[in-house]
Amino acid sequence: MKSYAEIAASPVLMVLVLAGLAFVAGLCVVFYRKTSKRALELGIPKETLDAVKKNTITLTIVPSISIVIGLFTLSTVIGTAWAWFRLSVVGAVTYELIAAQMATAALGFEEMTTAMGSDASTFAAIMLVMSIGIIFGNVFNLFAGKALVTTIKNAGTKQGGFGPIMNGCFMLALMGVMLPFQAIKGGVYIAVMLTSLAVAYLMNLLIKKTGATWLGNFTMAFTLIIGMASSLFWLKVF
Amino acid sequence: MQDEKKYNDSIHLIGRIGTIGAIGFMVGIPIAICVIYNCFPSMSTVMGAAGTLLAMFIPSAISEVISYAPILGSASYITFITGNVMNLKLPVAISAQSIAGVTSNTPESDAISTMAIALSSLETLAIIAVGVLLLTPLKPFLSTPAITTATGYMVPALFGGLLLGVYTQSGKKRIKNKWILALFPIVVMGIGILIWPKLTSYQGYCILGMIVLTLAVAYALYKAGIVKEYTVGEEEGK
Repeated sequence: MKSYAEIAASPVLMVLVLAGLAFVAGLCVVFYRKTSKRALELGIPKETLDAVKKNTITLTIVPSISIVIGLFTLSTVIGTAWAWFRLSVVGAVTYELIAAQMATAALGFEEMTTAMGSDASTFAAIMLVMSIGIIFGNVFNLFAGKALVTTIKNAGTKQGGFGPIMNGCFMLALMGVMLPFQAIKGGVYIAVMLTSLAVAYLMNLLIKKTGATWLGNFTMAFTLIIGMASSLFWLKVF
Repeated sequence: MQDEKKYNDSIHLIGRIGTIGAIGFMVGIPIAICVIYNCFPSMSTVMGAAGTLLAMFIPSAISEVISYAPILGSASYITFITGNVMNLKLPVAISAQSIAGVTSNTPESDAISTMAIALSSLETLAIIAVGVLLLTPLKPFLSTPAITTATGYMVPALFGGLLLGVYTQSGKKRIKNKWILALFPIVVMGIGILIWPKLTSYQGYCILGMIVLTLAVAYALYKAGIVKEYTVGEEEGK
C-alpha cells in the first residue's frame, strides 16, 4: 500500500480535484450569466450592475487572501491538492483542521504529524471524514432551499403592509447578533468595527461632496483594509 | 408572475443540480482514491469520526440554511457549495443589495445577490489557485505577524463597514420607526451575552432565534401602527 504522503501528493488526486473545481467554477459562471440577464430584465440599470460587480471584485480580494493563508496551514497536514479542494468547496480552515484532527484521533494517532507518517488508508479516512462531516448543510439546502426561499419571498411580497417590514428584519436580526458577538470579544474588536464605520462614513461624505461616485465601488474594500490594519494600532492602545 | 415562476423554477433546478454535483465530488473524490489505490479505511472508524462531526454540525447547518436563505435567496446554493458564508458571502450579498438599493426577499435582490456571490466565488477560486501556484514565494510574506494579526480582525472590520448600509434608509420607500427594530435585537443579544457569556458559542442558533423574535416584535409593532412603510414626502408626518 502507498504511503500517506504519496497519496496526498499524487497526480491522480490533483486531476480529480481540478475536475471538481472546474465543476464549481462552471456552476458559478452559469449562475452569474443567468442572474445578470435576470437583473437587466427586472429593470436594474446596467450601470448599477457594473457598480455591484466592481464592489464585489474589490471586496472579495482581502477575505480570499485570508483563505490562502489558511491554505498554507492546511496543506502542510493534508497536502496541497486536498487542501485546495476543501478550502474552495464548503470548507473553512477552522472546520477542516478540526475534522482532520478528529479523524486522526479516531484512527488512534495522538498527533496529526504522526498520522502523516502512516499509510494511504489513513489519508483516505481523513478525506472521507472531512467530506461527510460537512455535507449536511448542502443536503438540507438541496431539499429545503427552494421551499424556504419561495415561502419567505412570497410572504414578503404578498402580505401588503407588513411585507417590506418583514424583509428588513432578517438583516437587522443578523446584525443584531453579530455586533454584540464581536463587541464582547474586547476593546480592539469594538475599535476595529468603529474604525470601519468611520471610514465608510467618511468615504460616503467624500463621494457626496466631490461627486466621485466611482469611489463607491471601492468603499467596502477600503473600509475592510483600513479596519483590519487599524487592529495593529488598537492592540497597542488596549 | 408566470415569468417569475419560470425563472425561479429554473434557478432552483440549476442550484439543486449543482448541489448534487458538488456533493458528488466531495464524496466521490475520496472514494475514487480508495478504489484506485486500494486503500479503503475501516468504515466503522470513518463513520465514528464523521458521526461525531455530523452531531456537532447538523444543528448549526440547519440553522444556518434557515437563517441565511432569506437574505441570500437563490444564491444560497452557490453560497453553501463554496462556503465562507459569514466572512465573505453574506457581506458580499449585503453590500451588493445596499449598492443596488434593493430590499431582501425581492426578485431584484435575489438576482443581484446571486450575481454578486457567483462573481465573488469565481474570484475566490482564482485567488486560491494563484495561492497554490505561488505557495512557496508567498508564504513568508503572508505569514508575517502583522498580516496574520490583521487577518484575525477581518469579521469586525467587515461588519463595521456594513453598518451604514444596513441601518440607514435611502430611496422613497422607508420604514417608520425602523430604529426600534434595529435596536431591539442588539439590546436583547447584548443582555443575553452579559447574563450568559457562553451564548457566543451558539451563533447560528442565536441568529435563528433572533430572526423569530425580531419578526414577532415587528409584527406586533406593525399591528399597533408604530412601525409601517411610508413614502418620503407623502405620509412621513402621519
